[in-house]
Amino acid sequence: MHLEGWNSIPTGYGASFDLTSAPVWLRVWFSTPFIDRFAYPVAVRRGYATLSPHPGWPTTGRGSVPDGWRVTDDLG
Amino acid sequence: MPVAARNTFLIALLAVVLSLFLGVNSASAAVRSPLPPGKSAPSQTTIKAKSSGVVPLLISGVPGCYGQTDQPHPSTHVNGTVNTVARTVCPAPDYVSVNQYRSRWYGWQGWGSGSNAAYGRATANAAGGCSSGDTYTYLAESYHEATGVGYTYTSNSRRFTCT
Repeated sequence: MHLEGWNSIPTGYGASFDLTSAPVWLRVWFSTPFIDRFAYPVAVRRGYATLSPHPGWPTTGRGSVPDGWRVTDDLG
Repeated sequence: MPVAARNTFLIALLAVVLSLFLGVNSASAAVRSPLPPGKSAPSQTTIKAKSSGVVPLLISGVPGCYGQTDQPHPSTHVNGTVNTVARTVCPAPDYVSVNQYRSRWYGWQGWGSGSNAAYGRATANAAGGCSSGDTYTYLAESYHEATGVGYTYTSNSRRFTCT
């Protein structure tokens, strides 16, 4: 099963999730064992997920980024 | 209501009910309890560092003295490994240690560590295996100490798929 953010992250990027401004129900869902995986695509769609490129990774080797992800050039 | 929206709502509702049942009342994207054995709860400083990622954290507020943990990432030098680099920089005898973890259903699993000591700039690397196609959230926590100056902790976390 394809779940964006859970088992599908664009090649060449690391993902971070900041749900501090997310609704409580999503934060609770995100931290609930097993069913948390279904919250990841929702977090991506709602703009709570950020991609940053891997250090040293060639720019040409990065995968395409689906809608919803925020992308930063910051290596942090 | 569209079917997809209704399913999302139902799953969210189920999550809330389950979490209430399990006693889960707080959430964090980067940190899931429990911490590895022997680790105490992160200090406020550590939590701030998590949110700021790779931004250096000054040691005892002294300019020019900082600790830093880079983001965990697949190695471009050694295939099949994931690693994290951490450093302590200060014009003094420096020490840095970094522990790397990956998130599992039962908590954080130790996934490599490293330490180093040097004058002026100490850099350490933590490395662990990384099978192609595996997706995990990796967390690295580091301890930085500059002799005669002080110490601090930093951390960084990323989720990615190994290729």
